[in-house]
Amino acid sequence: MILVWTFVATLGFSVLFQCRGWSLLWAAVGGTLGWALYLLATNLGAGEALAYALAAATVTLWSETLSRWSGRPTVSFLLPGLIPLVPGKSIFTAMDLAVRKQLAEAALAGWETLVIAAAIVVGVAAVSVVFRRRAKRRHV
Amino acid sequence: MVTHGPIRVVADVAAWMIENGAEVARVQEAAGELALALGMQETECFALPTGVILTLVDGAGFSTTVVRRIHRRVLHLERVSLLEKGIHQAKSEGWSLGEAWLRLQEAAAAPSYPGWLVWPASGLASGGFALFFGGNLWEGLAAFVLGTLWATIRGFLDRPAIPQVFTTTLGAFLVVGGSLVQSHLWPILHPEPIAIGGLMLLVPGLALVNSLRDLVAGELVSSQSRIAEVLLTGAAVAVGATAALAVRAGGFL
Repeated sequence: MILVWTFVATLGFSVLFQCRGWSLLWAAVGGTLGWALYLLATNLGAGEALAYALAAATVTLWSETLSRWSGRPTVSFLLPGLIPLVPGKSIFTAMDLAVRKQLAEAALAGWETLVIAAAIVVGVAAVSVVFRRRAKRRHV
Repeated sequence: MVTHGPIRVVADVAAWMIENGAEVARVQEAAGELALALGMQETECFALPTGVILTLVDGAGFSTTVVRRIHRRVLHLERVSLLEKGIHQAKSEGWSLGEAWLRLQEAAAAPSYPGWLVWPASGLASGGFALFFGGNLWEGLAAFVLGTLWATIRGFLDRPAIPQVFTTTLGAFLVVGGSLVQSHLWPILHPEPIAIGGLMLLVPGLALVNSLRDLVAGELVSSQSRIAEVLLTGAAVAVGATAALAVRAGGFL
């Protein structure tokens, strides 16, 4: 059931990001796929960072493929698709603890946030690099 | 001698792309592609989330530089998409300067969704996240109402004279305060999933990921300014939420 809610939340954000037509639905499918992969990876025993990196790589692969197929830029699918993965809740927790002067806990929550964000970036960058190299080779 | 034409078109397109949420590294590439399509020999573009510095060199070796400041940014991926397509077509179809100017201006003015669609979409996003973070259907519905209400209020606050940090603080206060009021009126509702669902509309999760993407791409200045934006927005959310919790602790709810 959580995947249905992931789809609904991503679809809402796709409208807020002003995606149009079919890209709305495809972006929401990408976000759902990413979260499904995160759940699968954690169920198979992967650590948090690895699961986030794999999920982000899946969303990027989906976005790059759709971008080539539809002629729209990757960012149209990638940004809404990453929404379920981004560490919004933990940024809030870190800042909330800092405002309450619980600095040690805030630092820990901040560190966890950074690890998740870095894992997402590694996942996105790994797939983007492969697609960029392929695109360059095709132009040569 | 470089005319005012190409540099104005390229600088405006670069600024429009940033204003609507394109990545800084991609904007720099796109500016180069468009300038070459418009007959320039060399380009150098330095883009930041808050501005663009662009130099064009024509066939005779004369160079011109312009600076564009960017005061407000939104996420409008349709405009980014149309501008990217326009640049691609300018290259492949050999658009003239006038044609490029008109068609790219049209792309940058693509309409936004009307309020009656954006407001419930915000509700859908916050309701979806309330359920995603373990809320039940009623809490999802409460977050939907709160998200829709907040988006409606935000529609009125979204103007250049009002700083975004103020809007964010107020948003966090209203979302957390609203979730507490809802759970006070209907005790079966837990405020936490409702508040977290609503706060997902405000927290800068995507900005954090984008700042690290800029860092990986070697855009150090952009990355640092985006991280500063993340910290400022995150602090605004926390202050607004804490203020609402303080009202409850003071016995008002």
